[in-house]
Amino acid sequence: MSKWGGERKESGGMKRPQTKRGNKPGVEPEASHPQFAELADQDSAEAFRVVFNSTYDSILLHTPDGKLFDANDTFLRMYGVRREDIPKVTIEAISSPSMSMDLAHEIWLQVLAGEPQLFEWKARRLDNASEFDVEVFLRRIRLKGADVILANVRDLTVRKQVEAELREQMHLAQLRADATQALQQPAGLGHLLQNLAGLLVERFDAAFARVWTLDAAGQVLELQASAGMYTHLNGPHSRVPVGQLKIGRIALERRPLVTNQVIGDPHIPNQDWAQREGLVAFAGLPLISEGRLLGVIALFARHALSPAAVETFNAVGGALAQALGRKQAEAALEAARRALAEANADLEAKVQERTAKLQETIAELEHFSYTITHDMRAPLRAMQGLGGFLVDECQNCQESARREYIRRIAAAAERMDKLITDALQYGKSLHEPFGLAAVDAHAVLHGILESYPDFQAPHCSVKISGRLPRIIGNEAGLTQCFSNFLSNAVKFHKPGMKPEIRVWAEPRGEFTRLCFEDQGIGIPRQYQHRIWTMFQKLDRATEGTGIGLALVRKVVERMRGRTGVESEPGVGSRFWVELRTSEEARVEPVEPCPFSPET
Amino acid sequence: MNFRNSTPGVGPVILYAEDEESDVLLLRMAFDMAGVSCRIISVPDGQKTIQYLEGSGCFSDRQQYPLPSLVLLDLNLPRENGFEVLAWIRQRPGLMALPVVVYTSSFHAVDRDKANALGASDYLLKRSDLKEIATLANELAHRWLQGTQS
Repeated sequence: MSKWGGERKESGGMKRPQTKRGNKPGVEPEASHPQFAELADQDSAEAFRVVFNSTYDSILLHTPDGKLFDANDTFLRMYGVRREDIPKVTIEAISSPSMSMDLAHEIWLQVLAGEPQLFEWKARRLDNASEFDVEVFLRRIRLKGADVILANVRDLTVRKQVEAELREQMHLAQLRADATQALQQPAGLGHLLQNLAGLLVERFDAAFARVWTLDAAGQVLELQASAGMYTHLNGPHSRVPVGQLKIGRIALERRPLVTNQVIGDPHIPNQDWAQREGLVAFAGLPLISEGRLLGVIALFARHALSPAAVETFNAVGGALAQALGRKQAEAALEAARRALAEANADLEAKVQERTAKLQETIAELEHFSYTITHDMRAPLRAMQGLGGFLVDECQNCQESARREYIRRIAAAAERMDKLITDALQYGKSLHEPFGLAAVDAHAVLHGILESYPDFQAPHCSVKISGRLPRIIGNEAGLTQCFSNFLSNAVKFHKPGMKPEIRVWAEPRGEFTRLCFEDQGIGIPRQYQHRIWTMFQKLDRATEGTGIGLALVRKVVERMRGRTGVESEPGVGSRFWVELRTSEEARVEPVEPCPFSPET
Repeated sequence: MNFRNSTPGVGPVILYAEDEESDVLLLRMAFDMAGVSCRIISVPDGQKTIQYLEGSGCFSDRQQYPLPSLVLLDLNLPRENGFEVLAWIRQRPGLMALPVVVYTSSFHAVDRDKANALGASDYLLKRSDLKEIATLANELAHRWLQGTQS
């Protein structure tokens, strides 16, 4: 304040805050307050006494040998001393017994040596012996020609309280942060809860802290973590039915229970135990997440819990409830995943088992088919062979009917054998391994034409327009297709006409269409889709088993191509097969497909 | 007994392992038709085939049942099947060079491959036309029986 204005020289090195009387424009000097010098002039002793007694700090004047000879009113109030008792007051008397008098003496000597001292001290009131923190400034001064030790003492109680509150707030904020971090660790639930209980005990200086979770049935609280003076998880509090004991009631009522007076609290039934252990405070909190009760957290402390501590405890409990809810959701999700994985594994096992059975059945069927056809063909061979022999023997036989019967028996046997052979061939083409590679269609066709006299002059005329390209297919498969197309063209020629067949290739995008066109009897439109089906014959009179084109379609499917026919009765037919045009001679093995769908 | 000695004492010996009597009959007729002079001794199952080749049991008389110049082997034989007989033959030191032609109705590539892997001298499909079988008889005689004696 400006009343301390003017240059005031200190005898020591310490400077007080100074302000000059300002001549600021527009600001008038405070003329109503007399200057200290004026006061001194009027009655310096009285003025000094007024100021002396009005300071915020206690001011004490000691002789160099430590005797208090004067003090201001603030001192009297601060230390609970009566003015008349001032001469009797010693430094030891107004110091906490915890303070060292040796230290006080050392400080005193330094002050006497001319070194001012500033330090904190624990003081004691004389009237009630209560202790409080002070800041002391000691300096040797000269007063009326004598050395005097001036003590300036400031009460730090309020500052210490503020500091303590600030420290507690920081401490609690740190606890919240640590608790949040602990709850985010990817540890198991038990480990996580134990960590949190430990943290509460450590940071709240609690006697012990415990966490219970509600069982699946929602009936019993199960102790999951315990830290502090009790770390066991068994005993009477390991399973607390909801509604029983104070923990169960907190769960039932879904309300926190906090007390700083454990002794005498009707909610704490075991008072002897609480007294013996010196317990002062209890805090219990229901753990609720999204409206669901998940458990209870509680602690006992041997000191009172501040409102800030309770608030922090509640916040930590809230974070724990969220974490528990998340963990439970994760556990449920994991359980669902596990159940799904198990169901998948079961399904996979069933599929494997059924596939194995199916494969076994297929193998049995194949074996059966192989055996039966083998055995069927043996008597047929006898019928064919011996029948053929008899036909030759009866060439000159006079009984034409008998000769005809024998011929028919031999022919029927031959046809039966052809049926069996073709059926076997059909099965073989479906199940045997079938590699795909670049195949020279031109060479395959030429090979067939050279091998079979039926496809050569004078029996028939086959003209190839241009050069057939290389396609992606299977040589044996392609041979079957070409042979079937050629033999059909030969078989179904117009009566009295030599079969004429024209073969050419048409590019179709990535594919090549290989066409076999004849001028035979043709196929009525309504029957054209039937010729690709097993045992479908349109003409009983012609030889054949009705398997050939069904076989062609299956083989072409396995070569990843397609086949078709365009035909007009009396004009002729054009059979075609479309296969991927080869760019390079790549080999692509294809596994047998036992269930190739009919198209 | 199911086995029969055809044209005893004439020409080289062919051991025909075949359970189907009509096939044996056709083969005999075909060899006759082809005019190939040989003895065809037939055995009806795999076990008898092995006994014959090792000269045991009722085949201990090598005068009557001499080692054959050629074995025609059906695959689908009772008891030991053709593959087992073939494997047995190829493991016998004295029979390793014996020509064994598989004569079967199976055109399955797996059977052909298996027979070749086990050491078959050839793999022929059975015919039903007597003339074709006679042609086959001629080819067999030409390839396997020339310069052999009973």
